[in-house]
Amino acid sequence: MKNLISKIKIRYAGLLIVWLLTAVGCERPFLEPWPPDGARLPKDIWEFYNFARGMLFRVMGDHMPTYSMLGVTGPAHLASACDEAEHSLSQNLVQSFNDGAWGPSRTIEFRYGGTMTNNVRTTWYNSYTGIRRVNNFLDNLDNSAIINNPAIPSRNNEREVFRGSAYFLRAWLNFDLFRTYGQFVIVDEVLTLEDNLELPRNTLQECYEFIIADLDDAIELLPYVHDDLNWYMPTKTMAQTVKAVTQLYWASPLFQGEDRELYPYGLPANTVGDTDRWLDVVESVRAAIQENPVHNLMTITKWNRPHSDANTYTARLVFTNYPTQTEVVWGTSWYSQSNNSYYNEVNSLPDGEDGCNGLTNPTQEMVDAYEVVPLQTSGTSAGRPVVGAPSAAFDWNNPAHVADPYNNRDPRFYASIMYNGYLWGTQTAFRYTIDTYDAVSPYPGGKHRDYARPNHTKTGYYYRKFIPESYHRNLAGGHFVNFQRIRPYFRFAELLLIYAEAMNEAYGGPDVVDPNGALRAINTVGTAQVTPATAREAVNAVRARVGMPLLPTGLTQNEMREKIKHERRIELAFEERRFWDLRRWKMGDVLGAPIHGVKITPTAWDTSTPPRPTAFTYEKVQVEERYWEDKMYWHPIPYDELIKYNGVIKQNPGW
Amino acid sequence: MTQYKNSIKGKICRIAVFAMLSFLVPAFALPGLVAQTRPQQPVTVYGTVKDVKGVPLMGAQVLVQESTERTETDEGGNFEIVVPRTGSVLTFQAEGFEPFTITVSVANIDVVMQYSVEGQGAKDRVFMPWMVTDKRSVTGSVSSITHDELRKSPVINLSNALTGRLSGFTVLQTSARPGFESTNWRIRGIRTLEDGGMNNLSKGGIGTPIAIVDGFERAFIQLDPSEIESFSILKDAAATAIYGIRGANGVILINTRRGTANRRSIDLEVSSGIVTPTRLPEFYDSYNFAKFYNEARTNDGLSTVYPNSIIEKYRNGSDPLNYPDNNYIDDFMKPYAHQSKAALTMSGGNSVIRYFTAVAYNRQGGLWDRIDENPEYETKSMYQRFNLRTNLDINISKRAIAFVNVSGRIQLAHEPFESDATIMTLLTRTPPNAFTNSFTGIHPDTGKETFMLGGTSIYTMTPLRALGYRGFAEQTDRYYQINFGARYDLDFITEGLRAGFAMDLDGFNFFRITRSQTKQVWQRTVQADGSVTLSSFNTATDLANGGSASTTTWNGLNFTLNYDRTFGLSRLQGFAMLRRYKTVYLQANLKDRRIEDYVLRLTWSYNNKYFIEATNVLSGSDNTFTTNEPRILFPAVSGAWIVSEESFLEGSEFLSFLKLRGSFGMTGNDEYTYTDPNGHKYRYPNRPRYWTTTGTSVQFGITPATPPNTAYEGIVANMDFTMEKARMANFGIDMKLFSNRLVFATDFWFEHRYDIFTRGTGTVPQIFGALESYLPIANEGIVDSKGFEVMLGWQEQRGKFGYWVNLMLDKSQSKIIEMAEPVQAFDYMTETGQRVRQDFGLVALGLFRNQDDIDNSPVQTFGPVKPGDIKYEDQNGDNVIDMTDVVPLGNGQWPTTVFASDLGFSLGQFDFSMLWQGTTNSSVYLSNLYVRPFRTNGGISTFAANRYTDEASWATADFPRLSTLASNNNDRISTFWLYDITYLRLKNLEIGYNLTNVRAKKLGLYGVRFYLNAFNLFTFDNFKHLDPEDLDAGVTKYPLTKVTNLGVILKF
Repeated sequence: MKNLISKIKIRYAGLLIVWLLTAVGCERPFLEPWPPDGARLPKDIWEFYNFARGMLFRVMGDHMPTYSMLGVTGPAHLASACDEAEHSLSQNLVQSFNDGAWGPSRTIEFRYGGTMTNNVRTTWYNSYTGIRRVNNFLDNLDNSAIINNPAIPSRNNEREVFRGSAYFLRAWLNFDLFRTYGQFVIVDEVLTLEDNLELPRNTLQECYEFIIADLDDAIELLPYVHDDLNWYMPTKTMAQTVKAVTQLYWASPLFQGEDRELYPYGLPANTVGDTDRWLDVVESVRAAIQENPVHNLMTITKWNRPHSDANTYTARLVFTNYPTQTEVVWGTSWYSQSNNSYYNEVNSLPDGEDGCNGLTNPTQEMVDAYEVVPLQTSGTSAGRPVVGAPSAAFDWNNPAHVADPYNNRDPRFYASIMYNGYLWGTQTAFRYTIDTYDAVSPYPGGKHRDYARPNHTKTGYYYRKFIPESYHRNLAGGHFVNFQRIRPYFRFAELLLIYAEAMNEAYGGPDVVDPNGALRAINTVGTAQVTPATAREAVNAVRARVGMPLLPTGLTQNEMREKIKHERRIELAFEERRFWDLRRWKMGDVLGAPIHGVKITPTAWDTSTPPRPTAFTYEKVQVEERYWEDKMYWHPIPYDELIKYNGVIKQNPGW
Repeated sequence: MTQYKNSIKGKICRIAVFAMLSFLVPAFALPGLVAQTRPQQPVTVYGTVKDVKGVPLMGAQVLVQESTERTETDEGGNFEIVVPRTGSVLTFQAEGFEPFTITVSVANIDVVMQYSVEGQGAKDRVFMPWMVTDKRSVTGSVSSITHDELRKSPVINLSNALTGRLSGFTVLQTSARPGFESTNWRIRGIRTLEDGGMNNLSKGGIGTPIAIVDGFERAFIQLDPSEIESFSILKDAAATAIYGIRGANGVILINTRRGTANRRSIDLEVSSGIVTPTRLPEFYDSYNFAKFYNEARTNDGLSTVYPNSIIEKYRNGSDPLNYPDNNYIDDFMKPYAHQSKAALTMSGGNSVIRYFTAVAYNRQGGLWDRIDENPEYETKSMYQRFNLRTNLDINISKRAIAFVNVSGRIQLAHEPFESDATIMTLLTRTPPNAFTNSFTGIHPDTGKETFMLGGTSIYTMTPLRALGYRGFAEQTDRYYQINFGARYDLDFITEGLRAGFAMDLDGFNFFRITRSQTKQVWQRTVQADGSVTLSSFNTATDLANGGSASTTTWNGLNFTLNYDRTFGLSRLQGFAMLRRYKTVYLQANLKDRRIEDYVLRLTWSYNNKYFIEATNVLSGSDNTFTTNEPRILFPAVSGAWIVSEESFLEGSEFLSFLKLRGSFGMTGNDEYTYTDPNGHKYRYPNRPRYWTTTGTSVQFGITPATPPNTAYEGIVANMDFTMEKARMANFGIDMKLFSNRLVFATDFWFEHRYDIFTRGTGTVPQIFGALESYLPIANEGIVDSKGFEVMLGWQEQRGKFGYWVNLMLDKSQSKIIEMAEPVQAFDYMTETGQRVRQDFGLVALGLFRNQDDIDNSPVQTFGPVKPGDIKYEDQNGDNVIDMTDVVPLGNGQWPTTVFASDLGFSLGQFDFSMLWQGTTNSSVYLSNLYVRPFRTNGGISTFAANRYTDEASWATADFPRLSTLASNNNDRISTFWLYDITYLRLKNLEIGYNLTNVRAKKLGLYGVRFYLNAFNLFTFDNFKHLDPEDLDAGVTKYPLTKVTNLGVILKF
C-alpha cells in the first residue's frame, strides 16, 4: 500500500514538474528581447522607398548649415567671431575666437542641422559622420527602392537625382572641412572597424579635386528645378554655386602657395597667385548663371526705411516662395518657430523686449562701413538713394556725419542693423506696444541698454537682418507668432560678387571684358536689366538693385579688390561669410584689431513722464581688444581626435 | 492532501487551488489560534533554566504558546509563569540555544537547554543564496547584519543605514532630498570601467551590485528596517557565482523577517526627530558682491558697474526695495525639518502556520521655507511612505510547505514643481542684490497696488517664484513585491531530497501630477531722475495640469532541487536550479531585461571540519542572446578548514576558533548603460540596426510640405560581442581568541576583470564616421583589482556592564590594464595603468605674481593670462602649457580606503553605541558655483575671500583674480581645485534605556525601550566648506542632512 502511495506521489510530482516546465516554456526563446524595440534591419530600410530616401534626408537634417542662423554653439551668430559684431554675453563660447582662448583642447563647436534638436559639433566630427551616411547611401542606392520610375513623371529620373544629391551633400561636407582645416582625409567608402583608420590627410590639391569631382557628378545629375513638392532639394545651381565657391577658396591667398612647408598659411594678402585658378572660378560662375532658368537678382520695391512691411528685402528673402522669390540659390529647408530656444528672432531682437536676448551687437566698424548717401524721403522710392547723388565713406571727423550718424546711409544698413531711434514696425498692432517708446533705444538708461542687464548691447546696436517686421510679438503668448521661413544660405547676389572677384584677379583689373562674352540679363530695379561683362559691371548690378551709386571705370586692380571686399561685407553682412572671407583673404590683422561701439549721450529731454530724450551726441568708443595669431587661419584638429591616428595625422601649423 | 490531490484532475485547477489555499489558509488559521483557549483552571509553573554544563541562564525567555503571557529568567535562572491550563505548551528561548518546548503537566519544570546547532547563536547565522547556514561552514566571503543594527540609523533610505556596518561595502550619500534620498554603493570598490555618471562616455560597464530580496532581484532601498531579517553582502566568487552573469559586482542579499513557531512577538516602534543640513555654503552679501563685481570687471579691463553711491546703499541698507540684500539660504530654508516614523511588527505562529506582518509609516518634511506664502496653494515638500508586509509559511502536509510574501510600499510625495536641484541652484546662484523677492507695486495695466514678485530679465526664475509661485507636484510611487512558492520533500525518492519552486510578481508604478504656472516677475529700474519704472518678464499663466506616469514589472521564476544528507561524518549537499527573470518597462526607450541561469552547487563537508563547495552556473541574458556566446559557464570552487577543531588546538582557551578559507571562481556582468542618442537602449550588439523617424526633420516644397521620414544607421554592430567576466580569488581567516572575547576576521582578494565593455570613443578615429554614441560596444577593457578587509572586535560582559569595540578597515585598489585608450603624447597622460576613475589635470604652481612672472613662465595656451591667474607646471619641458601637460591628479573620485568603528556599552538598563565611519584616498575636483564666482550670472561665495588682488596679495592669495568672464585658463582641471575628501563621520549614535521587566509588566507590556539616536552628527575633515561626502550637496543639489531622533519601542 505504502508502495502504491509512493508511486502515485512520484507520478504526480513528476507530472507537476513537467507541467510547470511546459507552462512556463514559450514558443520564443526566453532570452530573446521582447517586445521588439523598433530598430530595423538594413533590408527594411533599403527596400522601402520612404526610408531609403530618409537616409539622405537625415544627412540634410543633421549635418547641413543650421536653419537658425545662430551657427556657433552658445548660441551665437558667426558674425560675433569677426569684426561684424560683438556678442552681448562676455562668457559666450564664441568669445573664444576673439580672446584667443581656443585651441586643440578647446575647439569651438558649430551648430548643424535643420532638425529641431540642433547638433552641436566640431566641423571635423560633423562632416565625417555625415560623409559616412552619404557613402552608405551611395553604396546601397542601386539596390534600393529608389528607382527611375517613368510611371510617375516627376520621378522618372529619381535614382539619378538622389545620386546627384548625395554627391552634392558629400561635396559640401568636404568643403566645410576644406575651409576649416585645409587638408583633410578623403573618405569615399563606408569604413569598418577592420579597416585601417589611421589614415593621413590628403594633400590640399587632392582634397580640392575630390570636392570638385563630386560637384561635377552632382551638376551632371541634378536638375535645375524640382517639382513643387521637392523645392529646396539640391539643384544643379546649388552644386554649381558650391563649385564656384570651392574654386574661389582654392584661388584665394590662404589656399595658394604650392609648398605648404614654405607657406603654411598660403600667400600674403592681396596676392593673385595662380590666375588659372581664378579663371576656373569665372567659368563656374558663368555656368551657374548662364543656363539657369530660375534664379536672378530679386528686384525689391520696398526698403526698410522709413518703415517696413512684408514686401521688403528681408521679408521676401526669408519666406517668399519661388517663383516670386528667385534670389535664394540655396535655402535651408523650411523651419517653423516651434523650437523656442535657438531661433534667430528672439535671440537677436533688443534686450529689454520681453523674451528677447539681443545677443548679436553689430560693431561700429560694421556700421561705419555703410556708405553715406542722400536718400529720397518721399514718393514711391522713399528710402532709396537719390538718383545720381554721390556716396561717401562715413567719417567720424565729419561733424555732419557725427551729428546724425544714422541718416542717409546705404539702404542695406536699415535692413541689417538696429540703431538708436530705429522704428520697428509700421502698423500699430505690430509695434512693441508695451514699450514706452516705439523706437529702439540703446542709449544708456534707455530700455534697450540697461546696464543692470548682462545682455544689454555692448556696442549700441542690435542685429536686425532677416527678421521680417511683419512678424511681430504675439503679446498674449509672449512669443513670436509662429511662422515658417527658410534660411537663405546662398543668394544670387553672391554669385555676381564671386564673378567680380574672380574677374578682377584673373584679368588684372575691373574693366577687362570677359572674353567669353557678357553674362545673361540680370535684374536690377523694376524691369531694368543689365548684362555684366566685367568685374565692375557685376558689382554694379548688385549696387544698382539698391540704388547705390555705381562704381566708376578706371579703378586699379587693388582699388577694385577693396571695393569687392567692401561690397561682400555690405551685401552679405551677417550671412556667415566675412568670418571665412577674412581668413581666405589672409586679413588676420582685421580679425585682431580692436572693435568699437558707440557711446550715446542724450542732450535734450521732452516733458513726458518719464521724460524721453529728444537729442543725442555720439562718440566712438573701444569695446573690446581682439586677439589674433596666424595659426588661427586654420582651425586646430581637436586634441582628443588627433591622438587616435597614432601620429599619422599632423596638427595644423602653429597649434 | 493526498486525497485532495487524487480527487481533482487537471493541472490548472490543481495549481490554482494550491495557490488559493496559500492565501486562504492563514486567514482561517489565525483566528483559530486565538480561539483555542478553553475555560480551564490556570496553573502557576515555576522552575530553573540551565545550560548543559549546569550554569543557570539569565534572561531566557519563557513563553506560553496560546496566550500573550511571557517572562524571563532571573539571575539564578529561575522563572515563574501562569499558564491557562494543564496541557498548555511552554517555549523556552535563549540566544545561542535551541528553542525548547514542553507541555505543562507538573508545576515544577527544570529545563536544560542545548546549544544551538550553529553553536554561536543567532548572530552567527549567515544567509546565503537559497540557504541559511552558520558561519562555521561558510567557505566564501560574506558579511551580514540583522535588523537590530539597521534600525539604529534613523534614516528613510535603507542604504544610508548600512554605511560602515558591513565590511567591503561602501556607501556614499548623494542626495538627502525627502523621499528621493539616494546613495552610491559599491562592493569592494570599483573593479570595472564604469560610466556610472561620474566619468566620461568611453567607459562602459556598470559597477553597482545587484540586490536580491527574498531570492529575487529587487529594489531594496525603500524597504523599512523593521521588515528586514538580515542584510548580507556577498563578495567573492564562491558566494556570487550562483548569480552568474549578474554576480561580478557582488550581491546584496536581503531576507525579510518570517514568523517562528511558538515565538510570538508584537513590537511597536515610534520615533520622531529633526533633520538639519550638514553644511551649507556661504555667499557674500550685496555690499561685498558689488565691490567684488567691480573688482572683477576692472580685472577684465571693463568699466565698473556699481558706483560708490549704490555700494553705499547696499552697505547701509537704506533702500532695500531698490537696492536689496538677500540671503536666499536664510530666507528660503528652514533651520530644520521634522521626520517621524512608526512601525508595528507582529510575528508568531504554530507548527502549521507562521506569520510575520509589518506596517511601517515614515514621514519626512523638507527644508524649504516660505512655501505657504502663496494664498492659492501650498508647495511644501512632504514625503510619506507606507510599508506593508505579510510573510506566511504554511505547512500544507508533512512534506509540503508553502510560503507567500506580500508586500507593498506606497510613497506619497508633495513638493514644489521645480526640482530640488533647480531650487538649490537658484538659492546659491542668484546674486544677493539681483532683485527684491517681492514687493507691492502699482500694476501698469490696472493702476492698482498689486503683490509683485521681484525679478529681472536674466533672473526671470527667482527663488520665491520657484518655491512658492511655480506650482507643485504630487507623486505617488507604488511598489508591490509578491512572491510565493512551495517546497516539497522528496525523501520518498531518496532521503534528503527536496524540490521547490518560487515565483515573484513584482511591479512598480508611479504617477506624478503637476500643477504649474508662470508668474510674472517685475524688474524695478531706477531712472536717472530717481523715479522707478516697472517692467515685467514672463507671461502669467494659470495653474496648468501636467504629469507623467510609468510602470515596470518584474517576473521571476525559480525551480530548485535540494539534496542534503549525512553519511557518517560526511555531509553532502546539492543544489540545482533553473532561474528566469525578466523586467519589462512600459516606456519604449527602456530596454526590458531577460536572464536565464542553470545552477548546480555541491557541498561536501567532513566532520564539521573540512568544507568543499563547487558551483557551476550556465548563465545567459538578452544582451548576449544573439552573440556567439549566448550562455557562459561560470564555475567556482571554495573550501574551508576549521583548524581549531583539530586535536592539537581543541579546548584551547586562548585560541577558541580558527578557520581558514579560500575560494576561486568566475562571475560575469552583461549590464551596460549604452543608449543611442535618441534614448533607445541598445539590444543586439551584433546586428546592424537602423532607426527611422517621422516628421521632425527637413521640410521641402514651395509651401512647406509634411516632413518626410528620415532613417539612419544605429549603433554599428560588433560581431564578437561577449559579456564581461571576472576571475576572483579570496583568502580568509576567522579567529576567536580569549574565550571568544576577541574576534578577528580578514579577507584578501584578487580580481581580474576582462572583456569589459568599452566604447571606441577615445580610440576610433572620427573619420570612421559613426556618431560617438553609435560606435559599437567592444570588450577591450581589463581591470585588475585587489584588496583586503579586516575586522577586529572585542566584547566583554562583566556583570551588568558589557562593552564592545569593533574596528573595520577595507582597502581596495584597481588598476586599468586595458581600456581602449589612444596612444597619448606622453606616458604620464595615459589612463591605462591608473586606478579606475582617476582624475587627470594640470599641476598648479600657484598664481602668477605679476606680468614678469607670466613673461618668464612657459606659455599657457588656454587663453590669455593675467597676473592672478593660475600658473601651471610644464611636464614635458617644451615651454608650452597645453593638453600634453596633464598628469594623474589626486587619488581618484571613489574612496579606496574605508574605515569604521562600532563601539558601545550597556550598563543595566542603559546602553550606548556609536558608529564612526570614514573614507580616505579619494579626492574631488571642485567646479561648481561655489568656486566659480559670477559664472552664469551668479554670486560670489566666501570661498573667494582670499583672492588675488594685486602683487602684494600674491603671497597669501589662495584664489585667482576675480573675473566676470569664463576663464578657460583657470577653470581647467588642476591641482588648484582638487580637494582631498578624507573624512571621519559620526554616522550613528544611539543611547537607549530599557525598562525593567517588572516595570514594563506594570504597564501591561513585555518590554519598553526608549532611545535617542542620531545620524551624521559630527564630521571631521580637511575641507570645511561643503559636505565631504558630496561637494555638490547644498550648492546644486539638496543638502545632505543630519538627523536627531527620539523614539520608543513597545513590546506587547
